[in-house]
Amino acid sequence: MRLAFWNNCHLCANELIYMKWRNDSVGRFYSSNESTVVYFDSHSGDTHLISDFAAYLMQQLGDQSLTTEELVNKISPSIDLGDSADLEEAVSGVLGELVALDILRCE
Amino acid sequence: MPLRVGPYIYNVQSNVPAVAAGLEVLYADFQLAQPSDFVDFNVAILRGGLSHRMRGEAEFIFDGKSPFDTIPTGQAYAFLEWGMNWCVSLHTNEYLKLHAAAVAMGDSAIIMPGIPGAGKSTLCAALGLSGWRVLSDEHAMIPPNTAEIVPLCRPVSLKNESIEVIRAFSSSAVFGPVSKKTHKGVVAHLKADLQPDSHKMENVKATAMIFPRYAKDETQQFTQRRRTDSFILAAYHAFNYSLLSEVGFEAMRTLIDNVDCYDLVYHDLNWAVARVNDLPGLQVAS
Amino acid sequence: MSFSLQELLLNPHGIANLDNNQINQLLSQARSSGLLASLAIELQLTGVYSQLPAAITRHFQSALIIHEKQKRDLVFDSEKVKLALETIGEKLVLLKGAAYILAGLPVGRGRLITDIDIIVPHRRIDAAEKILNASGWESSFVNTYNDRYYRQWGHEIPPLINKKRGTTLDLHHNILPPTAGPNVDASLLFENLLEIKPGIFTLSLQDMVIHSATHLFHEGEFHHGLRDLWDLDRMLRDFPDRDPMFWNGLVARARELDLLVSLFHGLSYAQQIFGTPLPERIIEEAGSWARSLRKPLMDFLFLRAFRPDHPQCTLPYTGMALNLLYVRSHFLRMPLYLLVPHLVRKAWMRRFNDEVSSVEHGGTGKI
Repeated sequence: MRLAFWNNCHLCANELIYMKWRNDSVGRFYSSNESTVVYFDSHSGDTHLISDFAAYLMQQLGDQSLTTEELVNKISPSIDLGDSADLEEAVSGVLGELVALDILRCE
Repeated sequence: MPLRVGPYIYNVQSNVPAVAAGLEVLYADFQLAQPSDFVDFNVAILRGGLSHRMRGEAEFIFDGKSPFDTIPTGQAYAFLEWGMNWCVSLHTNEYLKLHAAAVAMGDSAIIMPGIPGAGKSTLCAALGLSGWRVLSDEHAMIPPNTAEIVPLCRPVSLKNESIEVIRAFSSSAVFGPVSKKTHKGVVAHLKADLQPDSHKMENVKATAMIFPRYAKDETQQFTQRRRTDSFILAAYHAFNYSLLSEVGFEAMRTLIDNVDCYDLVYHDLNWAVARVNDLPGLQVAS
Repeated sequence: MSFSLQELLLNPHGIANLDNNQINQLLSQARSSGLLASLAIELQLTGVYSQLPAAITRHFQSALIIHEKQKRDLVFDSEKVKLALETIGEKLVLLKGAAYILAGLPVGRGRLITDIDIIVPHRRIDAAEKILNASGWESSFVNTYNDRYYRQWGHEIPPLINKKRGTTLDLHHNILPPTAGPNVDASLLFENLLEIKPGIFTLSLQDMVIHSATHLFHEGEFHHGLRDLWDLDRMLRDFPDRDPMFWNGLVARARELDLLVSLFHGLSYAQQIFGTPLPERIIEEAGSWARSLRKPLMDFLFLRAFRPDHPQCTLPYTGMALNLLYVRSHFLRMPLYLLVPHLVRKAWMRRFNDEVSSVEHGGTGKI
């Protein structure tokens, strides 16, 4: 059980930008209009408390395999973060965290 | 002696006099099963051969084996109760089992998960002595896809200072044998089946989940907490959440969606009981 | 009427004739022998399970849930271990329970495991340990005596535990310790591997049987003696259908691995306890061996070990027989001069550890 916060990233965002992200098995979410969401990873059997932003990204990713850029293009119409470079950094930060938790794979 | 304990039947055997005396006090109002009924768990506290007797030791036996080391006879009663918990903790998986106390008032129940030492058993005992029905002080058992609790009423285990705290809280508290110098210190069990419906088998609907924490030097607080991290915390204090996989996740989802979650930081037991009595929607007998 | 767990595993319909008290004893014996989920599967396969009352099936169900969870964790963990070993150019070779389950063999149905056993070539053991450490599987032994003992005399390194996952990995370089009588050339085992999933392997069918028999007869603790023999029976009934040449090569292969005696022990006791069908030719070969002088003593010892690990099933002298087997298995594994100090040390340490680790309940906390 670990917490994933997008501002707590250990991986270099630039390195991750050209990689493709994928989710081996879409798990189950529990949300209750709070800033965190419970995620059950049906691949590992682990349960995580993740940020609602991380959950949103995972739902957008679904079972597709996308690069950070593709994912950012997909979500940017519905997210207003001003500078799209910031958004890209935030997104790859969160995705890097999710990879560290074995929730996502990057290929 | 085949005892009915909630949905299970235990066959309890002992040749240690203190254990027999404890059972007589604490299990006097339990229902006995029929000899032909299917027994779920055979447990025994036995003093075996000469070497046991000379060293004043006994063994807890389950499935014909001793899962623990031998124990001093003076701690035998506490080990019987722990052993009976252990059967449910390890060998049943038809329910989501939270490591939590559960009490009921009328037809609504509250669940109190807590790490050991957080004061869940003390609060459970105090509520039990204040008109609440004790459903369990160790296992809150939730049938998947319900927000209900399966009653599993047994004596409440109290440790160290909390024994005196409860004696002071109510002069009518009835205790079984006191086990000294266990790995958890002094342990005594409180008779907890004090309500007319204590041994009723029907499930009770859960309406609240309270995370109690005894804190001597902190300001007492009763505050609502978020559902998602209550989910995680309750799962963390579950015996088999992870084992049940998707079933566990869905069971917890249904439960958490149907209860309000609170943090309770307390040092005054009367204050804590009053906060629980004040929960919305309860019909507290005065 | 009396019953036995062995008979009910073979003929689950017999459960219909048992009263509640006997079913309670049956569950108790099966649970303590590690065969509760296996028995549940046999009951399901014969259709008896659905006729049992819920008060009874919930106990079987509980064991099946544990089995299912272990299976799921195994799929995930073996993938991780495979990726780790790939980085040093080694393939993942599973042994015993983990192999049976992941290969989807009938012997894996309901099989409970306590750890994942894997094997790498001896010269690669250090590299494998390092890369597994780096992937989160850490050595659990801070106790230096045990650590030294394992590394110096063992055929495996101390268990590697993944704290994040709570699962244990046993990394072997051979199927018997170098000090054991037979001198197994482990490199032979890597010649006939079966690929069960991309990049994940087991020993060949014959080697699996030989290993199981070897493990059974060189094992110190017989709590799972009946379970291990049940494994052998399941394999011997199933493998000839998968490979028509299965029996042909078996004896020759065991001879090649210097494990013929263990194989014959295994076949002979599987037949005695579970009526495992063996070809005429094998019976003859094993029979001529069994007529040797050692058989009566071995029967005395092993027929006691292959009963459910439960006091209802003890024959006179079972305690003594199990102790002798413990000594025997150590004798088979190591030269005599090592034997006495190790047993003394083990007995002392076990006592000491028990006192430290008496637990109130198991398995809380992990999500």
